[in-house]
Formats: sequence, C-alpha cells, structure tokens
Amino acid sequence: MTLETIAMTPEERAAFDRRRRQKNWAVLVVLLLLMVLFFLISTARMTPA
Amino acid sequence: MSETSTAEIGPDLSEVRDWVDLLKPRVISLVVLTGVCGLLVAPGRLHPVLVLTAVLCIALGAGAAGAINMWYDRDIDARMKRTAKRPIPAGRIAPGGALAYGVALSFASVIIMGLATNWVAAGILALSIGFYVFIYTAWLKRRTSQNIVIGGAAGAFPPVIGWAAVTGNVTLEPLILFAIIFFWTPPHFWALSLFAHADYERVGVPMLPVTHGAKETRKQVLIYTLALLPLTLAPWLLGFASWIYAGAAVLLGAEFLRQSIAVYRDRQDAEGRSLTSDAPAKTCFRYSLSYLGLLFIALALDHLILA
Repeated sequence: MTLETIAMTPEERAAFDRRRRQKNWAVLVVLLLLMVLFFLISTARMTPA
Repeated sequence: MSETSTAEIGPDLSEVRDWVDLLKPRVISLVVLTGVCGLLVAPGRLHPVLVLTAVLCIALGAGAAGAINMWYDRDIDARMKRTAKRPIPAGRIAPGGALAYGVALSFASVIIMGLATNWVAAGILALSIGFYVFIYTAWLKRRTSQNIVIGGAAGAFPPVIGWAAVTGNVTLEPLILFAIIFFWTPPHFWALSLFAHADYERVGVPMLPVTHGAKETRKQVLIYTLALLPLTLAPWLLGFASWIYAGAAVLLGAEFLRQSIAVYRDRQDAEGRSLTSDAPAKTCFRYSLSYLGLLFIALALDHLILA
C-alpha cells in the first residue's frame, strides 16, 4: 500500500494536527466510558433484581 | 507564508462534530424518546444501569443505521440542497470510513444490548438496523412511492426494543406502539416531501409528490392521519393506559387532524401545487415531530403517575 503525500501549508498542517488531536481525545474518552460501562453492566447483572 | 510541509496521509478534514453528525442526532432524539417509553411502560423492573445501557444501545443502533444510510445515499445527498452539507458529500469524511464506522457501531450496539439486557431485545435491534439499511435504504427508497410507508417500520421498532429489554418478549402492547409510529410516519414524511419535492425530483427518488403529484399526497396525509388517530386510543381501550393518556391523545390528535386538513385545503393550482409556499405542510411537519414526542411522553407520564 502506498501512502499519498499531501502538500500542506503550515496553517493547514496546524489545523490538521488540531483536528487529529481532537479526534484522538474523543477516542480516548469513548474507550474510557466503554470500560466504565462494562464494569457497571457486570456489577448490575450480578446484583439480584 | 508560502512554505509547505508534507503529511504522509490523506487530507482528513473531519472534526469530531462530523462523526457525531453522521449519526443523525436529531432523528436519534425521537428514537430515544419512544424507546424510553417502551422501557417505562413494560411490566417488570430492570436495574437503572441496564435501562441506561439499553437506551444507549437503541440510540447507537439508530445512529449506526443513519451513518450507513448516509454512506449509501452519498450520491443523491450531494445533489440535494437539504443534504449537500452532510460530512460525506461535503468531502470531510471518506465514504469507506463512514461505512466502517456505521457497521462497527451496529455490531457494538447489538452485542452490548445482548450482554446488558437479553438477546431478544438485541435481535430486534439488529432487525431494525437491517430493516433500515437493506429494506428501506437499499431496496425501497429509490424504487417505490411507498418507500416510507413500508420503510417507516424501521423507525417503529424502538418501543418494541425497550419493552423486550425489560420483559424478554414481545406482546400486543409494544406492537400497538409500533403501529402508532408506523402510521405516523407517512403523514410526517409526506408533509416534508411536499415542500422538499424539488430535491427528490432532481435526484429521482420516487417520493409520493414526485410520482403521484401534490394533490394525491395531500389526500394521503389526511387519510393516514385519520387512520392514526383511533389507533392512538388503543393503549387506553386495551387497558394499558388511563384517561390521562387518552385525553392527551385526543387533544394532540385533534390538532394533528386540524393541521392535516390545512395541508389538504392549502391554496393550490390545478395540479395541487401550493400557492402559499407550502406553509401548512411546513407547519404540519414541525407539529408532527412534537406530536409523536408528546404522545409518548403522555403515555410514559401516565404509567409513572399510576404506578
């Protein structure tokens, strides 16, 4: 697989990096929430109704 | 500055907001509301964490189906004014990425639903996603003017899923709620298509105003509203809602009927095209959203008050 090389101005590069950082944080938050959710589901399933 | 640097990947223009927009958050809100209602009115109890998880899965499943729908419809979305700014046609998200996102979220929502509640609810959630993607989006939408009549079933599943999450089965009560949404969908969408028909015509989607004209569409909006109203009283007649819900259903329904009659009697030319810029259809479309929301809130409150 070859990776396309895109020419970017410094402003475009900064905006690109900002968007990527934003998405990385979002993925981290989602993964942490998923971890908490699975813990809570397990606990709730083990609790007698 | 004229200096340039290079990045060894494609130009990813997406923001977090674009990935959220792919899930059609405005559609999800009504899906969640009807799903919550199914969870609340079902007999039995579920741990609050599992209730919240079920709601999350219903929302996630609906969003995932919406993302796959946007992937499939990206060609026509790009040519319709109403949808041209969506993330895929606007070029901010690559089609393949959107499809992978939708498929991954579909599986995640179904698996988590199954683990948290039961596999009947998970199965119905999977069925609703499959119905929306394969039956409505891929098969009916571009082929028949009855697309949203049959396809409307996809949006009618959430209260059934909510009910099944609590009880593990499906009885007459959730099917009545399913039928209410099923009959609400045509007047809701046809009111929209009356004032958005130029978009649909341009891209060849056979919505009723395009295939049968505005006059016939106005008549069908009224007919389906008339069919819907007695159905909304079924929860009261069958004894799973009290006079509180029945009163709300009558009042809300009377206003929906008034709006539908206004659409039918809108000032129009010989072919039924509006001479008022479809003002009654626009009002009716907006009201139909509030109508369904308020009807299900009334049902939920009725159960909470009586409980």
